[in-house]
Amino acid sequence: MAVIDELVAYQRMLSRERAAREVAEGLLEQKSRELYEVNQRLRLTSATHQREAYYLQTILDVARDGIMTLTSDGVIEKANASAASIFDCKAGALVKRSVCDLVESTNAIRPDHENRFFVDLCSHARPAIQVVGIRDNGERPEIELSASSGQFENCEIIIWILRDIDVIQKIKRQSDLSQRLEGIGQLAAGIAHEVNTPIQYIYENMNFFADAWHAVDGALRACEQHLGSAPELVDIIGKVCSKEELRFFRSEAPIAIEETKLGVQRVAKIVAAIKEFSHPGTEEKFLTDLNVVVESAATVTSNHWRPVAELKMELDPSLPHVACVRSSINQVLVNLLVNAADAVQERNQKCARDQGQITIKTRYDDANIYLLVSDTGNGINPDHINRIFNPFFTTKDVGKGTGQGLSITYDIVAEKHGGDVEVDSVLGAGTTFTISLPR
Amino acid sequence: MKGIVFTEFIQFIESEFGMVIADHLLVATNPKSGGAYTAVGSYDAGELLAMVVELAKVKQAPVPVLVKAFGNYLFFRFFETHGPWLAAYKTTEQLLGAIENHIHVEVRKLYPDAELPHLTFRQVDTMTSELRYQSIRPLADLAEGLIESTIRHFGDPITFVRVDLPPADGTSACFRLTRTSS
Repeated sequence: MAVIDELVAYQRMLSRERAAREVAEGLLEQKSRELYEVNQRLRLTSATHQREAYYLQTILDVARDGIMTLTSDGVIEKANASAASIFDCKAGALVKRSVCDLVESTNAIRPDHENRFFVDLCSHARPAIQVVGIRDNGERPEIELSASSGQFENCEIIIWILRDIDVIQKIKRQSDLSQRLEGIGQLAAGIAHEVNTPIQYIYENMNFFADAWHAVDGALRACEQHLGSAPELVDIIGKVCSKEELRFFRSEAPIAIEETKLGVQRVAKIVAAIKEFSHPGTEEKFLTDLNVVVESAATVTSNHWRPVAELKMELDPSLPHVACVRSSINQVLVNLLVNAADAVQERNQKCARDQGQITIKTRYDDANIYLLVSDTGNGINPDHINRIFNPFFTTKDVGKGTGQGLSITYDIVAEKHGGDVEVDSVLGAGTTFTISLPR
Repeated sequence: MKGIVFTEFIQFIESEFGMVIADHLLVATNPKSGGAYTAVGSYDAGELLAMVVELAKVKQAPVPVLVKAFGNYLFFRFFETHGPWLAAYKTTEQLLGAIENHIHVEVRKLYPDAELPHLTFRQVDTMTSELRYQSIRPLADLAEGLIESTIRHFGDPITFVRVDLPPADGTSACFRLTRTSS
């Protein structure tokens, strides 16, 4: 009986074991499916995270401001390319450096507290401050720094955003200079206006004196011819003025009058040029005779080019008037003439010659009016030719050029007038700038 | 409750009392699941408790004694199947102290839906320690059997007393362990 019970028990156990195996296999299949689905979700999540990480990295890479993260003791953990550029080093070279090596601290900060100072910048929502950076090459750029902090995985993380404000400061200085020049221009216009009137009547009076002298000279000549018939008159005249003196006056007075007239004419021309050049600035375009603008610019810059170069003008008398902002084109010509004079002067010194040559030509075709300014100066180094229109690019000595002239020239011609500036230069021979303005 | 407890229980019954008794328990209690337990499945804990009660009836033995005996058996089965995992622990206190934050963590990796008891271990001083058991199931006797076997396994000179905590129905207890020599 016991054996039968055991046999029955075995059969039931076997049947339960089979059932259990089927259940276990079902569970295995279910778990496999779950595992697959979890893997899929994991891949998706991983791809999303990778995309987000790439997105954030792209933002960091292309941001124009420098972005750095620091530890709470001022050691740089990450820095983007712009941050590296501000400190003039390779990307990645900033990592693990202390900010104390990169930013000047104030004297009030004790060295042992420097790190804390830089980190504390962000602790109370401070506004951006200006600091002086330290580059490995010794340069000290001005930097605007704004700092903030946050928590990442239970650690304090400091974020610095840096902006190189050297360029902004340069633009501001240039703007200040422009404002001063504008003031000087207004002053010059006022002076020109005031000088113009007396110059006009001085010139007219000199014309009168010239005519009057002609009459007086005739009278004196008649007197001289008839002096022999009146010996007492010879004595009287001789007491006032000797015969030689009279002869001298008669020969020199016309020359003096003519020279005075020429001088006054020259002053009048300068005054007219100043008036032309300091014409009230307006952005409106008017039909303008560029030949007049050229002559005006040549006069205003004469003190630059006259000592070093002969100025040759080949102005087409049939040049059509062109719609332009006259004051701006004036500025373009002045910039080009001053540059030409500087280049010629440099060349003169190099090859020990007294004078070079500057040539201004005006031409036109159906589409454009052309202004060509050529010089026999040093020419432009081919390595620099692509950069000459960049703001602040200059090869002149410190204090002589701001590097703004050609940048402004290009801006005026291309941006304001839809024209173009071309440069053709041969090193050691000279340069020609061709300005084209659409008709 | 995880199926491994059921499969181990059936094996315990078969090895201690024979296959006929094991079959009887399943037939007599007629579990809803059909009694075809797999280690990786989940089943109603009531089925296990019903079998324990039936076993107590058949063997004329108190339920706590049988559950404790199952606890002893379960410890050695754990060591048989998960020896390498447990080899890092050299004393009773080390093992008991690691249950909540190590062993249960590993269990949850395999069975995220496991309803494990909450165990709090505290080293009171160099000689005394304390393990608090808290569960939704009245299996303090099983815990006692496991602790007993642990001490025996390491050969530690430890005695312990069990204090049932309210509501004193086997769901909450404190085991105070004392080393008799260091």
